[in-house]
Amino acid sequence: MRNSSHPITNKQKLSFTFNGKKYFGYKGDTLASALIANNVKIVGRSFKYHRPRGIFSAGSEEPNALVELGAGPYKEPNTKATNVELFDGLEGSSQNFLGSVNFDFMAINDLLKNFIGAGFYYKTFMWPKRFWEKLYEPIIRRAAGLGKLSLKADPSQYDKGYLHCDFLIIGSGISGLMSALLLAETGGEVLIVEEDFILGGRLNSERLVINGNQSSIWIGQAVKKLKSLKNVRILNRTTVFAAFDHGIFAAIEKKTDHILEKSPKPRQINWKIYTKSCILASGAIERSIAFPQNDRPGIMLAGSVRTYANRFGAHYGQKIAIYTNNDDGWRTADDLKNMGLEIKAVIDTRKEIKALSSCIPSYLGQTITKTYGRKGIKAIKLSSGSKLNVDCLAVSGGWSSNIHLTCHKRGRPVWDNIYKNFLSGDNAQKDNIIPVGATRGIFEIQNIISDTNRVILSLIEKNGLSMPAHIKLTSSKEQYSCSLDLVSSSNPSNSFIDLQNDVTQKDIELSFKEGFKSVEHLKRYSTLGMATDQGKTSNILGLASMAKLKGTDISEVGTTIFRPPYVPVAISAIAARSRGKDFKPTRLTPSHNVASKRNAVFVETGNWLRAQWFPEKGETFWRQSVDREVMQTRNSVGICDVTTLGKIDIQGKDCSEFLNFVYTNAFAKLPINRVRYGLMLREDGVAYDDGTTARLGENHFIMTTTTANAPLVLRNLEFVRQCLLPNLDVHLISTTDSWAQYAVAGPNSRRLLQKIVDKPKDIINENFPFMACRELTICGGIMARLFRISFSGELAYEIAVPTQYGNALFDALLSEGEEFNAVPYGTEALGVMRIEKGHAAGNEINGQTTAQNLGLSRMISKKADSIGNILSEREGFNGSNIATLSGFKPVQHSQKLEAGSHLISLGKTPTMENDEGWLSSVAFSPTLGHYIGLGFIERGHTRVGEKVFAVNLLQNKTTEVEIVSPHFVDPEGIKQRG
Amino acid sequence: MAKIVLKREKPLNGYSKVINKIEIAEYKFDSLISLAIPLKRERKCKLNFKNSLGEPMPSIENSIISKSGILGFRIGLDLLFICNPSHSSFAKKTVPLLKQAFYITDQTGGWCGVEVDGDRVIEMLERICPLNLSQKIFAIGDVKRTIMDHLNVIIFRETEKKFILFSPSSSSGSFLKSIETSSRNI
Repeated sequence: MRNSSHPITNKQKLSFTFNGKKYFGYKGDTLASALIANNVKIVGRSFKYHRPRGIFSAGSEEPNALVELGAGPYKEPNTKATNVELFDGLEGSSQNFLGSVNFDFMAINDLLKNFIGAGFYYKTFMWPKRFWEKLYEPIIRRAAGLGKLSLKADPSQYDKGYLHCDFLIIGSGISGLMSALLLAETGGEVLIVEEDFILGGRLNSERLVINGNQSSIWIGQAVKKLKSLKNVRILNRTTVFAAFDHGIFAAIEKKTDHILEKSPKPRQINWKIYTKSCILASGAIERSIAFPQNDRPGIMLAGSVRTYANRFGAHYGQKIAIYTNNDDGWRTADDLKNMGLEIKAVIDTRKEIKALSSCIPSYLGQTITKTYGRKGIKAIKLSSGSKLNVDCLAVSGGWSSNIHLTCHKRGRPVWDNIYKNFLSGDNAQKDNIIPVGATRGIFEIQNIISDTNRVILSLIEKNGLSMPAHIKLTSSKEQYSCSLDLVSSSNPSNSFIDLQNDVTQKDIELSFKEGFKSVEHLKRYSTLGMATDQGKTSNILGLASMAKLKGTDISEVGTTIFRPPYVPVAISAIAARSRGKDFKPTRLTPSHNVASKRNAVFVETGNWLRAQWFPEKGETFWRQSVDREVMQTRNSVGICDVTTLGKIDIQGKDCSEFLNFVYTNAFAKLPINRVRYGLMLREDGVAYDDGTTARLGENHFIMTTTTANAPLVLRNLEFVRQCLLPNLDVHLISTTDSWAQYAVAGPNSRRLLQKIVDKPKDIINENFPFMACRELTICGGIMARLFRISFSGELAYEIAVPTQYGNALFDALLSEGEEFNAVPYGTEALGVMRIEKGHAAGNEINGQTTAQNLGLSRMISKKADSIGNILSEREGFNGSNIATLSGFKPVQHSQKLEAGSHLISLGKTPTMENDEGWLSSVAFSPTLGHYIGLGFIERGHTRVGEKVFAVNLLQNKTTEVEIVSPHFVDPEGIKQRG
Repeated sequence: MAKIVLKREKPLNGYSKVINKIEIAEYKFDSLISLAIPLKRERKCKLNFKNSLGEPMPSIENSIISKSGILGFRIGLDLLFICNPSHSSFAKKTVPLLKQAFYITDQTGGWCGVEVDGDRVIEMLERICPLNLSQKIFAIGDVKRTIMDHLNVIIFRETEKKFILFSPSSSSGSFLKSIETSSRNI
């Protein structure tokens, strides 16, 4: 029902639907307040027993009112109606039922309650074993869960961002606003984050007086002042959901959730906030009392009933009772009575109190023993036997400081026996999280004002900042005391402790009986405090119940700690804009535009997009293109973009000494303008990476690495430079992006390059032999570097020009090469040719193989120390039985080989014991007309000519192969030296 | 033999656009070189720098702009960058002078520069830049190396609301998309 004289009724009228029915609310409503105003009592069904449930709270602690919002791909389940800002056209619906929310077939679970208590499926579904996977688990999974996903891609946009401040203030109640006003005076950067869509926190829910006026006047003044300050930033609709090390907090800002029109702007922003200090003004959360049938729709937290009445002018029914164990429950009675509502009774578990309202019927020292009304409370029965007809029951079990965020770094709360409440431990202070107000366990407004002044001014003084004056406020006077009467002794199977997970007092008793007495065990056995509300309203009840069973108090029982996130966060918001192709950056090679024009098929190699092959007209199958590219290269000339190989510019007077240490082989005596192949080992002696390194000057080398390892090798070299050899004069710069580098391979490669370079004679064989390099100019003065190296086994070069000339040079090489029938080739043809030549690549140097496996043991210099040198001499690496790199070809040439196949001697069964090696790389060789492979097999170099099986158990395929030399093409290297 | 002419391309082909009142434009430069300070030779390098560019060598994470418009910035203990927008004698005169003291690596092709300018530029950068861009912390002329959307970026503050962002040229398309997306999202 709505109080027609409440100011909210003067605001814009909004229409919305819930479970398909149209309702009206006002701007400023939440979905929950609007549903209450429309007298919608059942909003959902409980998780396990499918009991009808209504709205229970007014904030993010809500355990019951989980609803689905939106439709189609925009549908979002498990949203708390208490946190949803109402807007015109909102579509909401209940969840977790079979049939309708008012008639749920799954409510049969409620009748079976005695059989499906805590831990029932740990015991029930033990046998027969085979039933678990096919019967039990599917049934349980179908029955479990709350809302349903749309199963469509979320079309909303999300973003992330970074914020920095000196003081992060979480919460904008009186202590948050006071903290902000004080800290802003210091000149520090202040960031106020408020979960609600309006500022003011709990003051918005109360009828408190500040400086002689309604508190809303002071809120308005404070907010106006803060908004006028340049060093203050305010984010409302934003929830800090996690605290991390080094003053980092994560927050979700809801940007467009309250707007119907789908905006191209991000719906939510995931902020990473860096702060020097955090002021935690997140207030307190009211807890319930466990008594029989305490979950009926219409039974709500007393403070929330007050919130709905004071802030939204909304309430259930006309006959309201309050059940409390503390003074705050009486305030609800006062406020509701002042609104003209009938207060049937205040039932206080305490026998003696200072009566706050003598004109309200009160029942002291009594408890509620029974409630009536399955789909909405109708009556309550007291321990004295009295029965009262009510249509709303407001329950208050006292207040718990909202210290969730202080636990995220393992801070353990401590029990405060005065206010019966957990407070943040010492860890919070160490982490520069400073609780204020109710978060500090202070619940009376006059004390909050004085304490916040004291805490914040002390912080300012401690930080040596300019001291502002106290904020002088006069306010209403409150009093608060609380008992720990939280659990009833009758009918434990119907006394709900945790409404979200349907954990009853009986479940706590069962846990105790079965030995799960520790709070950690209790939580996991009973699911107390789990799920979307993380037990915000139930934890203390559970602990009180366990304390009662153990005959001790809560401080002895202890508590579990809260983990992030404070509220549920959409996975999309965590991913933010990193979705689809934006998941990671894309790197394009310098020839990308030309390759695209030539219809290249691209492949992702790390972040790079590389041309895989270049299909021509009439080619319908990838291998037609690849075979053609290989044959044209071997017969004439081919051009391939090899820019992606890591290029590291190494300069310094000690760089040759540095290279001697990182490579297994020596580089100090490498002449200028020469290239040498180098092998790097890890510290444990396993092969790490390989590549060529060219010497351009006495103190200048260019190292190449494999594409995949380029960043890792540079990082490793920097580690060596900065940590292992800090006294060497060596400087490393990654120049991978700076140079476009193309392999020009094939018997006509020299003739093609002679058309490009400014001095063609410089590159004839006599002047520029195999493994030579030099800096030169091309195309009329463009600076270039030329390396005579060959990955294909052909007469070949790699030419490098500054990246900005990349497309132009690739195009020029192809057009100038037309007379030789030059062909661009991609990574597939590159791979085929290197396998034909027997060059190891990533499949062979895969972190499992050694120089000895690769047949490169002679490259390990014994004269000088180098990384991995000593450990490469380990016995296991050097025995006569080690697997060595070998070539393989199918005995029947028509058969295909599969990479990864295991090599087994003929006549032996394919078992682990008989496994002698594996095929690491295979390809169809157009040069030889059949499949070939590289692989590792025990004593491979002594077994040339022997036949073995290549067994692929995944494809159930066995192929007889012959062990051959790994060098299928030009084993003497005549071509590359020609 | 017909003369072959290689056309030089900019990573973003001279991109320029205004989104949400933020001017985004490719920062054009003729050359970009890095200078490494040889071990224990900082004093010599400082003298050389002053002689070569007429400005004192900047301290770490600071910059200079020479009279001829050359931008120099230092991003580490032993590493500086010199960005020459268009000065014609840079390659023939300045670079050989610098070579007398520094180890020089030409990185012209390795980097792409993007200028972002406008009243809402900080709002935009908040979405991708993890640094605190408050003027108290990151003043005009300051430079820092950081990560934006997984990419290595050098950020230079030219004025209160104008920044130059350098990122690797191979991923410049992705970087530009990040900037555009951030500008649209504010």
